[in-house]
Amino acid sequence: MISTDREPREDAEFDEFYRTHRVPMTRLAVLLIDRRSEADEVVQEAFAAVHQRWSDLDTPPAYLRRVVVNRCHDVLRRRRHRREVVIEEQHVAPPSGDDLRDVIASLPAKQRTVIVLRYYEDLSIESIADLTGMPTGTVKSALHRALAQLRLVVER
Amino acid sequence: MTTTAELETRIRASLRTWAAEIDDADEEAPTPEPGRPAPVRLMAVPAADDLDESSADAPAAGRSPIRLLVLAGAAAVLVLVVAVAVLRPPTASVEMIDEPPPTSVEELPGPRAVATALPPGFQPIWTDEHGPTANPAGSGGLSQTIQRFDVGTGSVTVVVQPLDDVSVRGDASNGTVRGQPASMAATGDGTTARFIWDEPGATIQAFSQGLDEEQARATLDSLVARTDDAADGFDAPTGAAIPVTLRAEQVWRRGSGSPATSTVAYAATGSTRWSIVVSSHAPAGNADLDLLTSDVGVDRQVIAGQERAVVTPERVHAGFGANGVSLEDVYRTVAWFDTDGALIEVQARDLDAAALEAVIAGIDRADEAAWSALPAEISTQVESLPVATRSTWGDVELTMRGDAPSPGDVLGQWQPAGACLRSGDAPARCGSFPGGGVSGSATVTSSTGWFPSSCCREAGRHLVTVATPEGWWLFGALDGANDDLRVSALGEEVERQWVTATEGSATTLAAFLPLTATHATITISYEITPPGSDVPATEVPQRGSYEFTVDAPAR
Repeated sequence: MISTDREPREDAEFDEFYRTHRVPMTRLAVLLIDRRSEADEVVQEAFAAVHQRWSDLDTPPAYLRRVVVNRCHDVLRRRRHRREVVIEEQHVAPPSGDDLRDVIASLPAKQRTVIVLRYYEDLSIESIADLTGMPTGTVKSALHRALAQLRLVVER
Repeated sequence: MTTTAELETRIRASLRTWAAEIDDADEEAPTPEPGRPAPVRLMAVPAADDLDESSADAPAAGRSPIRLLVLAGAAAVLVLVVAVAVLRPPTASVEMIDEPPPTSVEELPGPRAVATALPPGFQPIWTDEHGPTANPAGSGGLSQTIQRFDVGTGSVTVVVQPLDDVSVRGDASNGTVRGQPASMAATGDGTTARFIWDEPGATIQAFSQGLDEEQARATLDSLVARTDDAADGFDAPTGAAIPVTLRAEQVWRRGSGSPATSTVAYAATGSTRWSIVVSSHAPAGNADLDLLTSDVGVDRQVIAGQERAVVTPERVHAGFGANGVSLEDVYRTVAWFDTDGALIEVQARDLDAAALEAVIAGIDRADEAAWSALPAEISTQVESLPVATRSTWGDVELTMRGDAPSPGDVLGQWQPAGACLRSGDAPARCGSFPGGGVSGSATVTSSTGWFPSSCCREAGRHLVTVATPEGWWLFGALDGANDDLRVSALGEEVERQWVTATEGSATTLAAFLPLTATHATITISYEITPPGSDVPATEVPQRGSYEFTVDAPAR
């Protein structure tokens, strides 16, 4: 449970942190997992995690993003089959009118995560590797494969 | 021809436009009370667990040698064995389901280890086993070389992993290693540095310990490539200012694949959340404890009378990019080599040191009888769970176990705990979904080779797939008669293979999809017309699809 015996100053700081980062993190989560309801839940949980460790964190935004990304991975992992089979769920949302977006949304989880972190969050390959726990080679491979898919859309 | 820069610009623009549409976040968000923390929902906080579990099925650190050695293999694609010689004709009939095609389960020659000294009340919840794979170029294949060099009183560990031929734009260069732009990071205490650079066809990470940055770079520059392929590894230089000797190495040649692996997970009674996972990996390369303990946060400790590699998550995470997070509740990993070279790995959480030591002391290689007893134990546990949904065809019954979906889950997520398959009067065979996910796998190995594999999505449609060595059975219990399902496998539509039966408003359907390749993509797409005007279209998915990517180990 979250402790409630914090100093008011810490609470005020957390309030400000929450206001500043909630919408950006919600956007990131939606880009990663589509569903707004799940994205809201992920972000709430991430803020809960940050709040619990608020006084210990050197860089709360980095920790928040890590938890959001990893929690989104959890969601994506729950959507897919474990081990033998991978279910890459194509979501039921109607086409957006943006072919590129639709293809991003249909990418396998790993590729989608890398694309979003690389081109929305503007993270380096190494930062993505650190954030997600993937080896850098895996990040690069996923990025390469995703770009190849997206290139097809752009050039068709 | 679109340049990469143009493509990246398009992607950025698309993502930013997309994100900008998510502009009502404030409306749905809880409003913090003045002076109080934002009313985040108080629930099980994922925090530290997230750092590890979300990134892989692996323990702890992203780059621990244990993980590098083991988990690429463990994540490899598995289990489904494709019959090459005999395939049922793709005609759908009840008989096909009532009389499942004869199957054979591939022999899995890998080492098997089990825990014989479990804490009271613990029992197995799932097993997993796969033979050696030979697809190292594909996802999940294991293809990497690890070498440890002693450099004076310090050391350098080099990890070579394959990289796609096409280079992706490099990042964060600070200096060079072996003439290539390289990124470098050092631990806070300066005792360890990590370098990452690319060479043709490979991405290389190096960890130096006990050397300053200049010494580490000089050592890496001096290593002598054995061939043009970095995956073949390096030899120590002669005549270096600081003597360099190759202490240990594990070299996987390209194409050598992943070793056979078996895994068994244990949980406390009534839980499907694992507390202990025991994995066994067939000998591969020339790995030894020196290699396992090369990375930051991996220590060599004597546990239960034997020296073992221990991943210490706090140290791993505090190494590079420390964020001060407490990781007391993540799981630990202890690994060692058995006398025959098999790598045994134990992941444990929620156990204190004494309990973990007792478990490790009781890890034993399992004979056929011990291993064969596990599915029955798992089945018994899953069968004790309540039936949440039931699909039947002929005398084949498949039940999903766990709490029933609540009304609020109709469009949300339901998390079945396991599945049981019964054919005729035979005993049911059950498997658990250890992740508790809405989709999961329940591997039920048996003499007839049924593998209940996944289930259940969305709006009352319960789709269950059952994999056999020959292919897939798909069971669907669809509420509403207007669903139009189309199935394609291997790029060919196989709609006609569906058979359906309607009872009341529910449609049960089943299909058998023969697989003839070691890799297949099966796409199930559906278009749905809401069954009645009283059902708001917005509450019924209009269309969607499931895609199954199936990889089978080569024979």
